[in-house]
Amino acid sequence: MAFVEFKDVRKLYHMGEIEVAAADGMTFSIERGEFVVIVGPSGAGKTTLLNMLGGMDSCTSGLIALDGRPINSLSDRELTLYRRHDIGFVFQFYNLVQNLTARENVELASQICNDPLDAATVLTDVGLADRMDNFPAQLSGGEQQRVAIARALAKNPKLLLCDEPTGALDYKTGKAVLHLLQQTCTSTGRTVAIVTHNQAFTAIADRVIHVHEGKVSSIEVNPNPTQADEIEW
Amino acid sequence: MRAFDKDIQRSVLHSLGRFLAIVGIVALGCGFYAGLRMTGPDMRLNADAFYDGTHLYDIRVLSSSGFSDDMVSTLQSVEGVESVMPAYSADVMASVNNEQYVIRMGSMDVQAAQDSTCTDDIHVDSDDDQFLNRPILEEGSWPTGPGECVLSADRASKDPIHVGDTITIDYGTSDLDQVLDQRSYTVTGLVHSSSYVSDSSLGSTTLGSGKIQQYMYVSPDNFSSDYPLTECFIRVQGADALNASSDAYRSDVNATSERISDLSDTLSQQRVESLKSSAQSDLDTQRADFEAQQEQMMSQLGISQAQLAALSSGDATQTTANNAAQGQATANDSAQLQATSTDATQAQTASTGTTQAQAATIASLNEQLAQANAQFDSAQQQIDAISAPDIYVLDRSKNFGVKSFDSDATRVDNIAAVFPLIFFLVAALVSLTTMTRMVDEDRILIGTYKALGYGRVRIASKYVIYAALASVSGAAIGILVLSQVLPAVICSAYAIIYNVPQHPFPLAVDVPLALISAGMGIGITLIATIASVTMTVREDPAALMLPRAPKPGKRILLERIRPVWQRLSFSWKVTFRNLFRYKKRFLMTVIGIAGCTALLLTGLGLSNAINDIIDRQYGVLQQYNLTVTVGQNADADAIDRVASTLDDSGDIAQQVQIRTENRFVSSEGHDDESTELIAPQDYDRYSQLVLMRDRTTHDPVAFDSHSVVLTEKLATSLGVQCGDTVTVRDQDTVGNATGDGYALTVTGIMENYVGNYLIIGSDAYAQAFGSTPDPTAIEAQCTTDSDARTALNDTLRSDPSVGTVLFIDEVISSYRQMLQSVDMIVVVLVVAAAALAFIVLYNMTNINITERTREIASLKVLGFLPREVDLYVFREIVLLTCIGSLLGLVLGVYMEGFVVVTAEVDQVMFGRDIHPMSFVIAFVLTMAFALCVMLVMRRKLNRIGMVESLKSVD
Repeated sequence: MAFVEFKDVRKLYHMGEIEVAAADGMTFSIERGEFVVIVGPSGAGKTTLLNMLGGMDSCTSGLIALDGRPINSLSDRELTLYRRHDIGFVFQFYNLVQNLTARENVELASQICNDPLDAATVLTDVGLADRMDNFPAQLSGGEQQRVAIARALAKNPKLLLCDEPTGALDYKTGKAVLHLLQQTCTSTGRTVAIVTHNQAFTAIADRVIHVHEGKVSSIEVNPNPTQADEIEW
Repeated sequence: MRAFDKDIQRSVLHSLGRFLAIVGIVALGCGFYAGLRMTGPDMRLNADAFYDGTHLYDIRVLSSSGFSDDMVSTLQSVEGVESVMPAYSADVMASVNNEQYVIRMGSMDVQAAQDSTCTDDIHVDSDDDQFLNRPILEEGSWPTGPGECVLSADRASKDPIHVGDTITIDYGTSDLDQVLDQRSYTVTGLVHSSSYVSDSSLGSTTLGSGKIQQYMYVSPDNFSSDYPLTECFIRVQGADALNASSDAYRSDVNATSERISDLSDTLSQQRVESLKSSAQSDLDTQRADFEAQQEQMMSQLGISQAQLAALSSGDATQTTANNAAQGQATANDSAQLQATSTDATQAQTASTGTTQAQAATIASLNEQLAQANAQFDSAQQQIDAISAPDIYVLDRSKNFGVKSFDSDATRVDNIAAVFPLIFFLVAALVSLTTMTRMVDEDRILIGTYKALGYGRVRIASKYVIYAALASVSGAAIGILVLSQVLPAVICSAYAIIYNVPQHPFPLAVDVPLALISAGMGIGITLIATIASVTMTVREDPAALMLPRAPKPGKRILLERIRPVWQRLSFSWKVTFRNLFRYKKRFLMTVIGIAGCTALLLTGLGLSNAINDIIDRQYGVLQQYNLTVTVGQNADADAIDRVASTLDDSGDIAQQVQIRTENRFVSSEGHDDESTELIAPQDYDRYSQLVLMRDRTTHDPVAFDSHSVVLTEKLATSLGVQCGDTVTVRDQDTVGNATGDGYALTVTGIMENYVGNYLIIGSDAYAQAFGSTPDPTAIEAQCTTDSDARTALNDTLRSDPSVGTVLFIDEVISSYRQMLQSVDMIVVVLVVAAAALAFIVLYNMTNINITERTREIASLKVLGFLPREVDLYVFREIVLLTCIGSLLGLVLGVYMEGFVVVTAEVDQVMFGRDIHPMSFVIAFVLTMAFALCVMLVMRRKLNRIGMVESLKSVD
C-alpha cells in the first residue's frame, strides 16, 4: 500500500436543492518521501483534496489513508489528534499568532506533540537563527513563511501539507521558500505535498497530480525533478 | 432603493448579533433609567388614583372637645371646601376569637356605603358627595344596622378574623358607656380603606402596645348619643384633579387649610357656646325636674311650702349637671347628685311616720339638699368655665399611610437617580468598541466607497445610520418594556406593605422623561460611532484598501521577570500579551464587569445595610426590650411604683428611669429634625442598656451629667460635630416646632440606626431648660418568655398611671416586614447586573472571536483539541472578568455607600458595612455569569471551520 491512498473519494456539498461535487471520485496515491505537487486551476477541487487529506474535512464516500491508516472514518477527536501528530500544515498567509515570537510560534505546535523537534534547531534549519525572538510583525513575508514551515516541521509530522505556500510572497522569496521545502524533503526524507495553481512548480516535483473539475485528470511521475531555484515563472 | 441604502440595510441583517448587542445595551441603559425614574411617580399616581377614587379627605379637622352641627356648617361654608363629612372615632381594645386587638373604630354612613359601587378596586362611585374615605368591600356585605361592622381585609388576612365573627369591645381610652351604645359587633364584611394604606402601622394610640392593629367601621348610631362628633373630613374643591403629591395640590389644600385655621377661633367659640347651651339647658331641665320632685315629696310629707321654704332657705337653685360637656362637667357629679336626691326621697318617705323623726329627717334632708345644691353650683361653675377647645387642621401628610407611602416613593426616586448612570457608561463603551470593530472590518469597503467617489460624510453616515437604527430601536424597546415592567415589579414589592392598588397596564409613560432617556442613550451611541468612524474615513483610499497590519505583538512588563515568564505556556503568554494589546477592549470589559460586580455588591450591600439596622439596633446597641411610659396626668410616685412593679415581677434583668420628650432639634442652616430627647437618671445603668459607642472605632462615647450626645444620623442631617451648637425647640400637639428654643453644645455622637435621639445629662438639661429632668419612662431588659410578658403587661396596665407598655419585638417585626420590599429591589439589581454582564461579555467575546477567527482556525488545523481552543480564548476572558470583578468590588463599596445614604429615610440610618459574604457572592456570581457566556460562546467557537485559515486576510 502506498503512503497516501485516495480511492474514489467524493465530497458533495448541498447548495439548497443542488448537489455540487467538489471531489467527484478522486483516486491517486503518493509514496513515502516524495515531493508532490497537486496542481489545477481554481475551483478544480484541490483545496477540497487538501482539506480532506489534512483531516480538516471529511469525505462523503471513498477511502483516504495515510501510512496504512484509514482516516475517512475517524471521529472529530481522532481527526484532531491526527492533525496534531501526523500532519504539518503551511498556509498561504502563514497564520502566525501575532502575539508570539517566532520561537513561541514554533513552540505553539511543538508543545502539543509527542515527539517534537527542538524549536530553536528547526528555526536554525530554516535559516532564522537570528530572528527567533522577533514578533511576526517584525519579520518579512518570506521570514514569516519560514516560521510557518518551521512550525509545521517542529511537530515532526508524517506529511507536510502546503497550501499555496508562495501565494503571498514575491517571486524571489517564493522561490527561496520553495527551495526550503524541496530541501526539507530531500534531506529529511519527509513526504511533502504542495497545492498550487502554478504549473511551473510541476517541474520540481517527484510526482505531479493534476486536478480538474473534481477529478484527478492525470498523474505524472518525474524521475529527475529540477531544483527549485532553477525554475522560472 | 439606492445601492448605498441597500448596503446599510444588509449590513444590519448580516450582522444581527452585533446590531442586537447595541440594541440590547441601549435598551438596558434607557429602559433602566426611564423605568426606575418613572417608578416613583407611578407609585404616586397609583396612590393618587386610589385616594381620588375613594374620595379620601384632603383635610381632617380635629377638635379637642368634638364638633357641633353649626361648626360643621361653618366648615362647609369655608371657601374652597367642597364637602364635609363629620364622623365619630374612638380607639378601643376589643376581643375576637380570644385574641385582643387595638382597634380604631370609625363611623361610616352605611346607607351611602350600600348604595356605592366599586368595580375596579380603585374607584368607588356614590351619589353622596358627603360620603368620604369610601371603603371598598372585599368580602361579605355592608353593615345594615346596630351591632354590625366591617373590618380591614388586609389585616384580617394576617389575623384570624373572618366574616361572621363577633367582636367584643373591652375597654377604651375613656369610659365606654359615654362612647358606645353597642359593645358587641358581628363582622359582616371586610374592606380596604385608603385612610389606612400602610400595613406596618395603622397609626398610634395610647392603648395597648401603642399601635393600632385593626380598623373598624360601624354605623354612627352605634355611638352613644352623648358622644360628640370627633372629627370632620373635608374635600377641597378641585383637589382631586391634581396629583396628590404635586405642589399644585399642596398649595391648593394649604390655602384652604389656612382659611380653616383662620376660623379656628370662631369654631372653638361655636363649640364653647354649643357646649354651654346644651349643658345649661340640661342643667336647667334637671333642676326643674328636681324642684318638681322635691315639691311632690314635700306634699307627700305634709310639710308646708312655708316650712320648706324656711328649711331650704339659702338653696336658691338646685341643679344637676349633665355630663354632655364632655369631660368638663363630669359624669361623676351627675351620678352622685342623682343618688343624693334619691336618698333624700327615701329618707323622706321613711320618716313620714313621726314628727320627731320627721324633724330629724327634714334636718338631714336639708343637709343633703344643701349638699346637692353645692354640687349644682359647682356644675354651674364648670359650665361657665368651659374653655375653648383646640382646633387642629391636618392635611394628608399627617396620615401615617399616606406619608410613608410618599416617602417610600421618594426613596425609589433617590435610587433611580444613581443607578442608571453605570448602564449609560457601559452602553457608551459597548457602542464604541462594537462600532470601532465594525468600521475596522469595513476598511476595504470604506476605501472602495472613497475610490468610487463617495464623500466622507456620506460614508460615515452609513455607520451613523446603523448606530442610530440600533440605538433608536433599543431605546424604544427598552423604554416601552421597562417603563412598564420595572414600576410594576417595584410596585408589587411595595404591595407587600401597602394596600395601594396597582394601576392596570398600560402604565402612564412620562414622555419628557422617556425622551431625555432615549436622547441620552442614542446620543451616547452616536457620539461613540462618530468617534470611531471619523479617523477611518479620513484615511486615503489606498491605505484603506490594504489590509490593516495586524496589531503587532509587544513585549510586556511581565516578560522582564524571566523566571515567571519562562514557566508560562504559550497560551498564557498569548493571554497576557493580548490583555495589553487591545486596550480599548480591555477597558470596556473591565469597566463593564466592574459595573456588574459593583451593582451586585450594591444590591447585596443594601440588603446587608437594611438587615443590619435591625440586627445592630436591637441586637447590639439597644439592650432593653421594654419601654413603659407613665401617662401625662400620672402622680409623682407613678414612676417609682412602676419601677418596683418591674423589680417585683422578677422578669426584669435591668432597668433605668429616663425622661423622654419629643422635641425639634435644628442647627445653623439645617431644618428642624424631630428628635426624642432622653435624659437618663442613672448613667451607669443607662450605658448597660444602651451601648453608646462610635460606629467605626467602637470607642465608647463618654457620658456624664454635662453631656449632650446626638445619634449619628441626626448629627449628619444637622451637619454638626462634637463641639457644635444645636437648638432644641418644643413640639406642639400636632407636631410642629414652636418657641425660640434652647442652645446645647454637642459633646458626643453615637452609633444608632433607628430614630433620632438626643441623650442629655441632668446638669446640661437643667442648664438649658431650667428644670430638673423628672423621669417619665422606664427602659428595661425583660424576659422573652411570652406568658411572663403577658402577665407583666397585665400587671402594668392595671395601674391607671401607666401610659404605654411597648415590647420592642413588636417594633422589630414591623420593621422586618417593611424592609422586605427593599429585598425586592435587590432582586431587580441582581437581574440588571446579570443582563449587563451578559451583554458586555457576549459582545466582548464575540469581537474577540470574530477578530481572531483565522488564529483559532489555524490552531484547529495545528491539532488543538476543542477544550484547548476554548481555554486559549476563554483564559483571557476569565482573567479580564477577574480583574473587572475585583475592581468592581472596590467600586461597589463606594457605590453602595452612596446608594445607602441616598436611599435612607428620615430617622433611619442604614448599616454602613458590607458583609464579607456579600463580596464573595458578588464575585462568584460575576464569574458564574462569565461562565454562562462562555458556555454559549463555545458553540460559536466550535462552528469556526478550519477552512477559515486558508482564506486571505480581509
